[in-house]
Amino acid sequence: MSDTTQICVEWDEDLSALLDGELAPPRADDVRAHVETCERCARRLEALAHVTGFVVAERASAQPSSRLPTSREPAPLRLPGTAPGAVAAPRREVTSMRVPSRARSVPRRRVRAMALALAAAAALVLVLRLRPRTPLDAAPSAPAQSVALPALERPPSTDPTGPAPDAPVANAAPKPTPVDAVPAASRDAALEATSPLDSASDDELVIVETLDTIEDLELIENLELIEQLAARERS
Amino acid sequence: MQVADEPARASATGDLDEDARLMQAVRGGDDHAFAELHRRHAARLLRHLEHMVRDLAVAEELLQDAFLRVHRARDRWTPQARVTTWLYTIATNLALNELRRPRRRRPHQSSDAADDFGPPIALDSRAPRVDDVTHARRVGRWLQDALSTLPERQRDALLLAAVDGLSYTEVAARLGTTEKSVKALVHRARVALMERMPAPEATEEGSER
Repeated sequence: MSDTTQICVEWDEDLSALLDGELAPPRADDVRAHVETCERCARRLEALAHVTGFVVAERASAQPSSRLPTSREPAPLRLPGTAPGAVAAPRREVTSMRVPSRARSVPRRRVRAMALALAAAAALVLVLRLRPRTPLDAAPSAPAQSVALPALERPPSTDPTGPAPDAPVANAAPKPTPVDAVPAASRDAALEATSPLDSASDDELVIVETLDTIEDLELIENLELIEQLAARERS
Repeated sequence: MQVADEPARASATGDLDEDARLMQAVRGGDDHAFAELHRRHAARLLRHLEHMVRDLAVAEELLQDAFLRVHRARDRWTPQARVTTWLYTIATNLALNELRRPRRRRPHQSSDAADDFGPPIALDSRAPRVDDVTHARRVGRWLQDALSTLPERQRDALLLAAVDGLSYTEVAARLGTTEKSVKALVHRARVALMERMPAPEATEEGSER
């Protein structure tokens, strides 16, 4: 199609790079300016572009866009002479999308709710430490002076002299264990044993219900932090 | 040169038939078929355009313009021409116009702002015209074979860069080579295909001119 015997050698390879957006602006501008003045390179650029388009078209025929993971959706098609949206917008078929990082962050309202929950949890813990225990009929009795929250898993201690993971530590916050590792029934029973639900206030019930993530449970053990969060929320 | 008429290509995949079926419906005035055609090919074509013009907003305008031009020229389409080749020819011409446009000029304005689409773009007398369905028909026949004859590294580099939209840096990492080598491989692949590509002929019987 093109006369390959006569090409501008110094520009030829850059024509392809220009099509691929791989030229830095100064060089891209130079190539562009050269193409404007050199008919041979102009024809060469067009031919290179078209052959590329055909290759992509070949792939498009074999694999229409709807089957490809796309990170962006083209705007709906608007045909002239029709009202906007008269032609049904293409059905959006998302196979995979890159989720913006902000979409993955915890929504602000959830953070606020967690802060409130943690603050109330602090109050709950303090209250439970003071009120007499009323074990449920079917629930095993628990020590009156301690709060038998579900065991939390503490990160492995780096201190070789520290306690073994399963060893009880006096006057220490309950050791964390993954929530998933605690059977739901046992977890629920443990929660119920520590919080007499029949007489629990709505706030306390809410707190119990929110203690279902490892993050929530881990933070419970740091009461000072909870109090700080509560104070910040109040302010 | 005469090109004997032949029935619509017996396709190895159902998608070629689907595009032809949709285009037939578009010729019959079915706008929903055209919307389906858009849905099938817009995303990839957008990526191709953006790869060329390096500006998403402009690429989107070119995309719309390309589809609108196809719609305008729908009566010229014949079942022997691959729809995608035709579509990409139009889109590439539009992108080339944009690529060669000095920065000081006005940005591309899509054609959907008015009923008048303006004259077809003819960048060069030897380049396929925007609505050259005949050329699209001819191209479709040789491309598969031409690609298979490319040296493997050239083919891989071209497909990764042009079809998958990877940067030269990414292609170099994939192929275990340098960016400079990738630039050369991609260019050589294009030149090899270009030299084998049938030229658009204006003298064919029944050609769309």
